[in-house]
Amino acid sequence: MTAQQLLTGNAAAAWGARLADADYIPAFPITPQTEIIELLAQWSAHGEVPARFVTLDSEHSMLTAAGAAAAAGARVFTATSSQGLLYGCEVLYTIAGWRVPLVLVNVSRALASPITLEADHNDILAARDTGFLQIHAETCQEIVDSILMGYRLAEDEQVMVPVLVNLDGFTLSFTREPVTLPSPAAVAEFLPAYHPRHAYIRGDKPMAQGTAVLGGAPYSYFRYQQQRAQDNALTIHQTIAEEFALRFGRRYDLVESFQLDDADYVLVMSNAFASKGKAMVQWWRTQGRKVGLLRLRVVRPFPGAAIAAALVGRKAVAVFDQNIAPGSGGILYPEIAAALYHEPRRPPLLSVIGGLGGKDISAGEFEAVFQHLERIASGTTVIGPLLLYTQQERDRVRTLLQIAGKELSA
Amino acid sequence: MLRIRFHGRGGQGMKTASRILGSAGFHAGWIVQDSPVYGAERRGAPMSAFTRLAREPIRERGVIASPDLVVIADETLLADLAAQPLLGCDTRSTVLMNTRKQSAELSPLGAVSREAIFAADFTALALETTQSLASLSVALGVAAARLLGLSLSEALAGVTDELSPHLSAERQAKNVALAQVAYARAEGWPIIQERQTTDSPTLVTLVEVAFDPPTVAAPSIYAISNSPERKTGNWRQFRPVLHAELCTRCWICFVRCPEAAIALDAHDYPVVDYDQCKGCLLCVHECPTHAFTAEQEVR
Ligand code: SF4
Ligand code: SF4
Repeated sequence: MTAQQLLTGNAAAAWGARLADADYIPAFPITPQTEIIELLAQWSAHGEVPARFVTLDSEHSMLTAAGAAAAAGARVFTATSSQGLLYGCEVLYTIAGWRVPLVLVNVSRALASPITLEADHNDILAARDTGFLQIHAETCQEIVDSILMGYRLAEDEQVMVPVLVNLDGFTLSFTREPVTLPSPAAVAEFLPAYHPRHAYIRGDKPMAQGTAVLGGAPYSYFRYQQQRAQDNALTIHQTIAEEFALRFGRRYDLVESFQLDDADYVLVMSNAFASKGKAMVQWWRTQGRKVGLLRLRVVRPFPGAAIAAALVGRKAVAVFDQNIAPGSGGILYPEIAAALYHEPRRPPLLSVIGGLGGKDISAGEFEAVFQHLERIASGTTVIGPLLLYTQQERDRVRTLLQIAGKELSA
Repeated sequence: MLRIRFHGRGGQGMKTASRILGSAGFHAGWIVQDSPVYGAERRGAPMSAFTRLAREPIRERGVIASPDLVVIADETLLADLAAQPLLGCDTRSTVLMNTRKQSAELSPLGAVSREAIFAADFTALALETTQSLASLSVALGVAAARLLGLSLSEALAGVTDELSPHLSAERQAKNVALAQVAYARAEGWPIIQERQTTDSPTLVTLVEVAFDPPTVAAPSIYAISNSPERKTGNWRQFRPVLHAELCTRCWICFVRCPEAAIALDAHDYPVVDYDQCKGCLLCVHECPTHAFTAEQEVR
């Protein structure tokens, strides 16, 4: 194992592809992802990465090329962000249906309109029903590790569906922190070469892939197979996680428990801002408040049982959604509520929407969430969702609206 | 944990300065996190970068709200609402300022105590030693490293890590020389200590977002041409100066200026609007007859 070095999240993602020894890398730039493909392009140009690196004319073409290469039997890596992921979304459904493995990194960036650059999770969660598995990373280290675990999961014959690894724009993509890169030899042992058994191109064995079916029954069969593959991924992920921990000393479960053992109150968070939640938990612990954090890591398949096991019996739970489904609220909240519905000891839940467009979640806002948790624990019904938006921020936005020539009521 | 916030303008190298400090701290055995924020990349626009050094894994992310040290590359940022470099500073914060003024001449900087303001002309230092403004990143990164108690060899290791491998050996050597000078410049200053206690969170009031009519709530702008009111003239570090006797009136500069800050006078000679000219020096580089020269701004 090599020493630690400082890497940005984007560099960590590029290293993940390099260590996984990808064969084919189709690319298209978009902020804040571009650094990933720039690094891979550079390595490919200097012969440090043997992969075939190809630039395409759009994310739609890029993902089509990625899926086609995976269907030809290549190990494929590619990356995108935000609008790019949505532009290619049609293809995501298609290639997940082909049952071909590849790893696609998404660098989260909030969606237009209004257009912006910083992170929230409406992009990655728009892809939640595509059939891709989804792993959401909290740290730069976890990005490298999740890409390696992602290939193992995608290429497992019990699973055989593509994987999306998510990292937040700016807070991870441009942030350097210490990362340990495993040696290529150790990775090669953990992740041996991919030998496709069902989707490949060979002159002596013609096949048609991704065929059309008419009449609902064949369609139902093939679609439900994707559900079964995701079910399997829950178990296979744990096997891979154990092996990864044995080989590399870092353990990643479907969900991560932080100070949960005796916690009365729990924050449910995901991605980079989960770190901020953990820092708050540590602070609350010094104040004698029993708060813990549950981090959602594997979001597809949805680990409902693990989530329910972690949350039953708590005094109150706040589910943070760094996303918004207008007309409904937070996207993850109803999924977590559903996972708890049949539990007799289900806790009261608070839906929190925060960090939209990369807005910071300050310690003061966490404190406000905690106060709400205490209130619902003592029986007050909170009609959610609770938007994290402060008076100071409102005033600042009003100033901007005035500059833009809007007539504001008092 | 030590929290350092860098403020500069796009092109002044403060992202690199924050990485030089981060790498230096990493060499000294600290756990490090560094990250920049900027909007749509634009030369001259205010940007900031953050470096955290800690003994425990760092769980903070993004902006630093209460900095131990604020490094200000450009004095004009003090008055810029988009930058607000002193935000969140209190009596425990230190300011490192790149300025031609002496510390004593500076007006009070928010809540920061006078004894905790350190000023020097790092721009002059950089120009003397490397003849390149791009080296401001080295000078300020290293001075910050010294203020945090890192050794010269750790600071130099940070510089070496972050210097572009594409720089010639001569330029590399000049930057190392600058690092030594900048470190020496900061040597008399006291070393910043880690805070012993964590502050209680400042309570905030959450507010509801009520429905507004689309005339307010849609992201459109009704105010007509208010962009000229955002004067970009104070972004300039160098001013383009026309030497009309060399000008052939080809209009290349007029066409190329990204700010449309060049107009033509009655005789078709270019005229620079110094209220808007942001000092990108494209005109200087594009003029085929070298009729524009670049002169350092004195502020
Ligand atoms: S330096 Fe020249 S090109 Fe740049 S903004 Fe000023 S006038 Fe325009
Ligand atoms: S580019 Fe040079 S020569 Fe041409 S108009 Fe501008 S200053 Fe004159």
